[in-house]
Amino acid sequence: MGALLQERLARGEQAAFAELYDACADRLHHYLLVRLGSRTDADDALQETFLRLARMRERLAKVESLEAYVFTVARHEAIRLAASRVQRSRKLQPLVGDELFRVAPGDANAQDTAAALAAALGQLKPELREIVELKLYAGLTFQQISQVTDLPQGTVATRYRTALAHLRSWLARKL
Amino acid sequence: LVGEETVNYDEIQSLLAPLTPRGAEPELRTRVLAAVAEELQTPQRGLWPRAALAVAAAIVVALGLNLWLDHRAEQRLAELFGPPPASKRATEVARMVAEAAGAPAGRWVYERLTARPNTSSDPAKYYAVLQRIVEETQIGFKESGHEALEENRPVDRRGPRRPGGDTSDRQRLVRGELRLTA
Repeated sequence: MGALLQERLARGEQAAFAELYDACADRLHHYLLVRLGSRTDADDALQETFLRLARMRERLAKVESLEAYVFTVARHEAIRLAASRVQRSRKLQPLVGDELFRVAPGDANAQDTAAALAAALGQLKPELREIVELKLYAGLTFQQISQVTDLPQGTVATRYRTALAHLRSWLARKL
Repeated sequence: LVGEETVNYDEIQSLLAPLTPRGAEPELRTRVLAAVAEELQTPQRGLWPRAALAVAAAIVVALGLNLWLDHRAEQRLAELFGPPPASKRATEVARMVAEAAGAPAGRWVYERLTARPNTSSDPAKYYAVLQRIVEETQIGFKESGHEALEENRPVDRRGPRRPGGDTSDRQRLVRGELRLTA
């Protein structure tokens, strides 16, 4: 995702938006799913994210990191949607392994691992889990995560290490 | 483990990283891109032009309302007291201006000279309003008695004398109330 794509997006080229979608929709959707806990809400938030990007396309030519910017917009949409959900007081079930990860249907071992890791991720505090999601599954750098979450880079790194230590501890006790 | 000095981060990362996150369903792509295409068709709506339009509309409405209210007040006064009496002096000045600068200038000067001050139509009401304002703004400067000078008992003058200007034999007595605040 380079400056050329940003310029095309700013001009409002539909193909550029399709390119952006293909480059980051899966990662965005996974991040939104973890934040919102429901596939339907994640779908809606993803659509709203792209609509917002289209609406303010002129700004896209000037952003420093397009990836970080797109995740920031998605994060704001997730916060907005979560707030409206609190008003509707909807309760959600925790996500299980195959809801979060792609696992081959016949591979029981992989399914168990995915289930255990989903459970381990599920017991993390939301602020720690967000960092793990953005680092490991969205593939962002600490600097980009810092931009998305509006936290100092040092805090992001510390939270990431704390989260990994918690995960290791939890898995050691459960497995 | 948590709290231990050395935690093998690579180990836990190597467990988590190979998992492939489940992404968006393929149907969602069509839905999102269709919505984006629709959005791209609509012209960009800047915030400033809309805000400027709203402000301009509000100003126009306010001016219109002001003029209408002014007109209504004038009408009501005319209904109550009839048209304002023409001042002889104003008529004379206006006539002189009209001779020198033309009829429109004379009419303008006459209107300016005969403009009525915006006061209440009912003298009794006007007097009551004035009285209320005076009462509200009046401040009573009654002797509060919070501060008073109290002279000490006569000092024994047989001892060593104080230097000139020393007022330590007088004290200001303040009767303050001790109030505890939250």
